[in-house]
Amino acid sequence: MEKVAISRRQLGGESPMVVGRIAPLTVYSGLFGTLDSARMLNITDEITQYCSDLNARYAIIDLGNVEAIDSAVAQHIISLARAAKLSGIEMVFCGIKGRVARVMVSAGLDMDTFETHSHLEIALVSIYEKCGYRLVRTEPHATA
Amino acid sequence: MQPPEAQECDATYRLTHEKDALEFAMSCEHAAYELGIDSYKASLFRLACSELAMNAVRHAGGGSAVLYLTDNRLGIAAEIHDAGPGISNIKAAQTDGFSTYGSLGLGLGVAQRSADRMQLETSAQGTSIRVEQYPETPLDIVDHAQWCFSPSGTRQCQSHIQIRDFAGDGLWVEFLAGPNLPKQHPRDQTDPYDDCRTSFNKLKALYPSFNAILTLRLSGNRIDCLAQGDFKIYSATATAWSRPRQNEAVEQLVITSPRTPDLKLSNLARTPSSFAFGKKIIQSVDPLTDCVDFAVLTLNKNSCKKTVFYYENN
Repeated sequence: MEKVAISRRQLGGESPMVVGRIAPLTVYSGLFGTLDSARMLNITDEITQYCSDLNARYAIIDLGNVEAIDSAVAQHIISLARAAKLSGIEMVFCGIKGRVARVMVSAGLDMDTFETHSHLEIALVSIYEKCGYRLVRTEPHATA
Repeated sequence: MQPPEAQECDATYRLTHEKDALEFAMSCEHAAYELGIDSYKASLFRLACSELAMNAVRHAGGGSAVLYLTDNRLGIAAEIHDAGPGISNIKAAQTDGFSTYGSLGLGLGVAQRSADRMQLETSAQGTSIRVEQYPETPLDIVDHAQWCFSPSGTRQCQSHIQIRDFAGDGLWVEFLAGPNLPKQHPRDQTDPYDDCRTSFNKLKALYPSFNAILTLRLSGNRIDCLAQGDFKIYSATATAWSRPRQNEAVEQLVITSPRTPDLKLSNLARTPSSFAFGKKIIQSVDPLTDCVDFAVLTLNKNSCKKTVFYYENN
């Protein structure tokens, strides 16, 4: 299992994090590897800080590279979203892998209370709609 | 601690920090996967191990864990020990939402739902929890048949059946009947690895009205079967019908209710798609709405198709 070997290197607090502006008023970040409490605290701090620096109102958190969500990680994610909400940021999640989702459902862990999307692309469209934008094709497709 | 890559099984892990717990859980998933457990069940096993290891770190100030093969060499087992204060109220701790740590309080419940089997021992000297995960029973091992029904002979009688893989090479079958049963089979109330009597007592306490239970375990070349409510059990080997014996390779089982007269085993002919019971051909029936004195359920594990046949004893 190549993935296990890769993520083992990501254990611990040193993994770099990506936080960036992806759309108007919107911050994007991805979580990956194994998330212990110390790492999650850093991540929460960094994301909320970045959001307030940018006056962001929305944050998209990509969970596509999180390979296991146990009750501790679920709680971290829920706390992250609640902390964000308190500071006026609406958090949207995307990319939870099918297997991870299936495992969570079987085990009775859920995150129903948060908005989740299958892909970043779909999450982004939903954010644009929230901001009052609509994606419109400007000219017919070349092959149409 | 040794690098987990160098270990397959029988490895010991020290759990001091959250990081150790997560690393241990990852090794559990890896080992399960290497053993041939599919990625979904391997992930579930990882989840169970990470919950338990995290509990040891958070509640008991750390502990240790061992990873090894199960007795039948088909599954993987993880045992997590700690020397913490123990779990004072196990029942509460297994209830979702109960936490003494300010967490979600799902840990033990999640572990129990994720692993095939979980055993827990706790005292003031510490806690030891063992979880086991097995591969799915291969399709070609069990293709057995089964069933009967309606012990009370009343139309109010309901019945439930649940069939699960067992120990990596077998099946576990549970049959319940009686008036006023819940609509769904009480799946989480019984454990395939409990002995039959324990399951019976648990269910009896929950649903006093049920009047028949049958628990059957086929694993390796062995049958464990317990029936309450005066079932009669017949089994078919490749050549003949007989009363089941321990350690017998059985192809099919038929269980009849108390009202059904003794079967003449020589009359019980078996054909690929139906049972002939004496002169009567057993036909299809819905056991939830029709009341029958005798029914046979054929479980075909290859197609997951369940066929119910019955015989009406007029």
